[in-house]
Order: sequence, then C-alpha cells, then structure tokens
Amino acid sequence: MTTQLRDVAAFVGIGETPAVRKADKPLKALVLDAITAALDDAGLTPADVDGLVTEGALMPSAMPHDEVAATLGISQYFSGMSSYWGSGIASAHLVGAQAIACGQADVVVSYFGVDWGSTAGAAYTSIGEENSPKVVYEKPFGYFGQPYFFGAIANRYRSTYGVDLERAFGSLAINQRENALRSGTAQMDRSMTYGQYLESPYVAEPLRIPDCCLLTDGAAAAVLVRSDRAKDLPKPPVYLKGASLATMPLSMDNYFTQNPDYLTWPTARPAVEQALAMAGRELDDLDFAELYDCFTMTLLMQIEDIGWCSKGEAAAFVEDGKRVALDGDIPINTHGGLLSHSYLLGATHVTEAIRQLRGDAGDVQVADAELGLVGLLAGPHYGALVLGRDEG
Amino acid sequence: MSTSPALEEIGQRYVPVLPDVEGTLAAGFWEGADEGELRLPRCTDCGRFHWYPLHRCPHCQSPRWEWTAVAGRARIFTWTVLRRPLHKAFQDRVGEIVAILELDDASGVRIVANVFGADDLEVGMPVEVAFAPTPDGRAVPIFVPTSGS
Ligand SMILES: [Zn+2]
Repeated sequence: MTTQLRDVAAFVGIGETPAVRKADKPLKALVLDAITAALDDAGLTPADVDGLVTEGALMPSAMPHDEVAATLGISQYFSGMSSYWGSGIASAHLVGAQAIACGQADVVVSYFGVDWGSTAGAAYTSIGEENSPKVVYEKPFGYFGQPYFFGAIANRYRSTYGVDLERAFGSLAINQRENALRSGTAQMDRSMTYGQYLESPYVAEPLRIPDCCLLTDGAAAAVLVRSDRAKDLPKPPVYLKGASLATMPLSMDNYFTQNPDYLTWPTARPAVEQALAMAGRELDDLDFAELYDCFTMTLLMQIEDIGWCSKGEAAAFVEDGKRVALDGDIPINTHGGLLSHSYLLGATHVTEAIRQLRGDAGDVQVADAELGLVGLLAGPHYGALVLGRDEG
Repeated sequence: MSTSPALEEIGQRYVPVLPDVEGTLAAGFWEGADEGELRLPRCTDCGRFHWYPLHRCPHCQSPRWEWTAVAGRARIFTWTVLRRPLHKAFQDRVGEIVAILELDDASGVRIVANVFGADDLEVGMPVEVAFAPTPDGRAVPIFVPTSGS
C-alpha cells in the first residue's frame, strides 16, 4: 500500500524570501511573498490553487490558511496540516500528495514562515507555555533553550563512544559554512577555519556558537501539482517519490529527557526507510540529503541513525568533511542548512532539494543529482521526503 | 572537590524562575520540595514511576497515581554547562552544571537538576539531593556529590 503515492505529485514551483536575521516586513507579508514567488516560478496564479498545506503547530496562528486564501483570492480549497515544527514542514507534503491522490486537489501550495530572527527569545520561549512541564521542571534549572538539550546529549555521546567531538562538530560546521558561502543566498557571510571554530565561545558545553543554528526572519513556499499537470509548466518537475512521518509515544515536553534510546533519534530510521520504500529505492541511491541541523550534534546522530554508518562512528565518518561535501559520498545540507544558510526549520531544505533536482543549484549543484532526501525532525517526530528528478 | 556555595546563596538564584504551580498537575513536585522531599508520580496500580506528570499512568493507563517520595540518591546520566544565557533569568548563573539524573529508587525516569560542588563530572557519578531555601520560604531540590564519594 505504501507505493500508491509515488510520482502522483510533482513540485513545479518554489519561492523564498531573502535569508536575513531581521526582515523589513512582518511575517504574514513574508509568507505571501514566498507563495507569490512560488506560483510565479510555477507559471501559475492563485486562481489555479485548490489546496493549502502546512506544518500544524506554529502556522495556524502565525499565518492561517484562510488568511492566505482571503488575501490571494483562493476560493474552494483543501486545507491540511501535519505536526510538529520541522517534521511537520516535511510531512505537510505527504498530506498534500494524499489530497491530490484522492482527487481533493490538483494544485497544492505548501508554506512556512518564521520571525524568530527579530523576536527576542522566541525560538526557545515558544517551547513552553506557563505551567508547561518545560517551564515547571526544566527552566528553573537552566535546562531551557534547545542548545542545552543537545549539549547534554553531546556530553553523554562523547562519554559513551570516546570520540573527538570537537573535530566532528567543526568539520560539519565548516562544510556547511562553505556551502552557504558558495550558495550566494545565505544569511551567513563569514568563512570559518577549524582554528576559528575552536576559538568560538560555548553556548551550552560542549556546543559552541557555530554548532547552533542561525535565527532568521523569512518564509518559503512550494507548489505541488498532480503529475500530469506538471508537464505543461515551465520548470522541470521534481517528483514526490516517498513521504512519511514517524513518531513514538513521547511528547514534545518529555522527549529530550525521557527518550529511552537517548543517543539516537529513534524515529529517523523508520521515517526514512518508509519514504525510501514508497519510492522503491535504497539509501545508497541517494545523491544528497538535506537534514535537520539545528545543531551539529543533531546532524551527527542522524548520519548514524539513518544508516550511513554505525552507531558511534559518525565522528570518524565526518572527520575530514569529505564524505558530506558537495562532491562526497553523500553531500549533506548543500545550501548550508540551518547552521549557515537560514533557520526556517527546514522549509528551505525542501526548496533546496527541489533546486538540486532541477539542476538549478548554481555553485552548490551536486553533479547529476537524480534522487534526494529531506529529513526534518521535532522532538520525537521525524518527517522524511524522497524526491526524484525522473518519473518511474 | 570544590566547595559548594551555601544553600541559602544557591536558593536565592532560583527566585526569578520558580513557577507558581498551586492547583496544577505540577504542584506535587514543588510542594514536596517545600517540605524537604523529592516526590515523583507513581502509579498505584502498576507501581511504576513516570515523568513528567500526565493525567494517566503512561505504562498501564490507570488514572490513579500519587506523588511519592524518593530517597534522592541519583547518578549523573549526562550534563551540560550553562555558558551563554539565552534568557535574562540566567544571566547570573553562568557556569552552573545542568544535569539529567537517574534516581536510584525510581527506575525508568530522569529528572533535570543543578549539581553543585562537583569537579570532573562523569557519567554515573553518584549525587544526592539537598534542598536550597529561598528568601520567600520555598525550597529547591539541588544535588551535590554523595558524601564520602
Ligand atoms: Zn500504571
């Protein structure tokens, strides 16, 4: 049953606002800009749109579907969401493809936007409302803000596997910094040597500033259409070959302390395996991967958990950065990712994957890219997309 | 071993971030601390602990659980060190050890706490609870290396 969505839908348009810390307009205006740019790119207008899909935890209040529809003049439309945060940004496209497969929509727009670059503290204060467990049992002790969650993982990881985490973190951060500078569209504009990495201050030991994602104001959108409509449109279609959302019985509240398998992301592998199975492809078939890199530690775990190397071996796998570079075995975060391009929680991981498969990624193009993975997470949730250049 | 600051000095640090939990599902933990006990939710049907408190035991789905005192001896599961305050409440707490602990007598759950008076932290290091009084009469559970270790 998992093959029914393969090639049912294709991406035909993408739009992004400039990657900046502080934008000159409000979030809702940024989202509308990204949607309009994606529709222009697709050669379509709002009148063609009959579906809206988004992440389902932040977007309902940040920019609701009905306000998009009311502003752009989208009349009768399918509305779908998938939770949470990064994982939902990926799996919203699963919902969109399902709507297309069921005949509920033909032209679906996905969007995501965030203004955490200009909202002081928003990225971490949004993790806990008053009286939530995070505020009541974690914040008093300074375990508040995502760097602390991942700094704690990193210390146990190092203790368990006895590896040179500084070298591994530095290699990942530098690889993505170089990709970001080559992309020409990144928020980050300063190069970094390993020496400079080591001199950068700690945020939450052992994580330093370059181990942590940027903060960004921006939005991105993509247009997903029924595949037979894609062929008449101006841009080369990029096919949605596999999509999945894997979860486990933990919540966003208690995942970071109670995850029984503390040094792995338990949902990463099942999500990626399911998406690859839907695509009828293997891990080795992937030409690149755009993975959720809120911290270097997060990325290091996924490299193991998705299966490019065994547990405890990712530090050696990325030691000199060559395997994950643009010309490496598995190029990762070709545009610079959350660490060095922009922090849209993975929305630009989706648009970058589409750009790569169109062969339109400029100086960060992976040679002959035919199949790519987008893997985005939030707490216990993991959303995976497998995208392909060719039908079939 | 480095000397721990006095409990009163430590307690003062928590004043800006102590939650007002009266009447909420969270109240038992902080009420226990005020009375000098570390209390966690334990199911009265299956006997297992869970954390954080839920409306039903996540192991057997029983709605019956009670705040149950534990001895407060624990091992360091992992830790980080507060270096760059991401919130103004932590500006005066740079250098504090932020730990995740496994309690000796509440298997299957981990709690977050600060550890004071420890050098050369390592996974598995034994620690025990102490209660730091705050100026307004409350108390905060903190952990220090187990005496004699
Ligand atoms: Zn029970």
